[in-house]
Amino acid sequence: MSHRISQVMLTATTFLLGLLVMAQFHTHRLTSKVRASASSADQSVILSSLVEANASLRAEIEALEAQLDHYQEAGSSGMLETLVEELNRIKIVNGLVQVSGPGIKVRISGPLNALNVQDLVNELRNAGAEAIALNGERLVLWSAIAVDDQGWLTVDGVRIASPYLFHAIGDRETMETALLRSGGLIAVLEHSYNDLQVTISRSDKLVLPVHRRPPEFYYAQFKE
Amino acid sequence: MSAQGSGIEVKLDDCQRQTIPADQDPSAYIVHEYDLRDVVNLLWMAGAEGVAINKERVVGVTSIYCVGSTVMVNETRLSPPYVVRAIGDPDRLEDFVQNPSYLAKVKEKARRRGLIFQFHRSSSIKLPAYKGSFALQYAQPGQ
Repeated sequence: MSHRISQVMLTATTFLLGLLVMAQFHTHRLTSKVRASASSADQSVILSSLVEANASLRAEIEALEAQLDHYQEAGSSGMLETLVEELNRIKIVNGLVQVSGPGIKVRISGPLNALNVQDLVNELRNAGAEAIALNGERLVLWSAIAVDDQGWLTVDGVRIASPYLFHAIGDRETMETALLRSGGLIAVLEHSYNDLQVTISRSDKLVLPVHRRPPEFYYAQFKE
Repeated sequence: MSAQGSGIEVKLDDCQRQTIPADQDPSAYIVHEYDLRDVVNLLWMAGAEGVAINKERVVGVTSIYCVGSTVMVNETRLSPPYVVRAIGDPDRLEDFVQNPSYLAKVKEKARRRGLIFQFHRSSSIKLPAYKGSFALQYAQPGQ
């Protein structure tokens, strides 16, 4: 029975490995396509992000190869541990568990609109934020930032108001620099609103809460 | 994982007019990354269970970013037309997309500048699987 399980796992892992190799191949092709167009400033941004993506995919391939070896040697022992780890990653990404780690706190007081807040969240994700909370509400994939019929800003239906406090777990320097660079999003917002007050501080450990509403599926059917 | 189900398809494309009046700002005639973010945000608000832009699945770590004249989603550069697909209740998704209080900027550009903004419900929306990775370096479960 355990032999059968490890065979299944082996097949799945090999399949994943194949996908990653394809992804890397695709990235390579993309890099060469990119060189043909775009200005040099854009190119450097694209290239650096592709190089980063490439490196992390390579690391993941190595990790998967190690996993593969592990399965081949040990059969099904240790599998549970790996599966739990994978499950934890998925839970973190989807806001199903409380999460902690180093990060930055961004406090903005001013008359931001829904698009500004969406842009800030996008900017943090772009700078590698692994988990974000806004005024105590954990943001997930399906979080919506909107204005309700009485003009309040809402996060997933919960009303929030200035000051807006973002907590983002991830690389502190990258996130801070991305927000503060000249011509960056904070500069643009400060240009739009005279009375905007922004403070960013780094923290060794932020703890972000669980998302209120777990995902539910009525319409979607999933395929491997 | 790829996913399939009923839902809606929203298409955004730059204005197809060959000439833009000299006194007008050309950037008002094209689709911007924030337009796409607004559409994706609205679809989640309308209860979407999964969303993709062209062939890129939108996931928790996705950012939608403007790079030169294209938009980058999950490290992949996309150019117009942008087709945003969402799986969910087609009635509710359509109600939200139609509602004049939402996507005001996009709709105004469509009305005044000829930006292309179309949507239709579908009984079989297919979303591709995410091709990237979820490697986390900083976040840990629990306190």
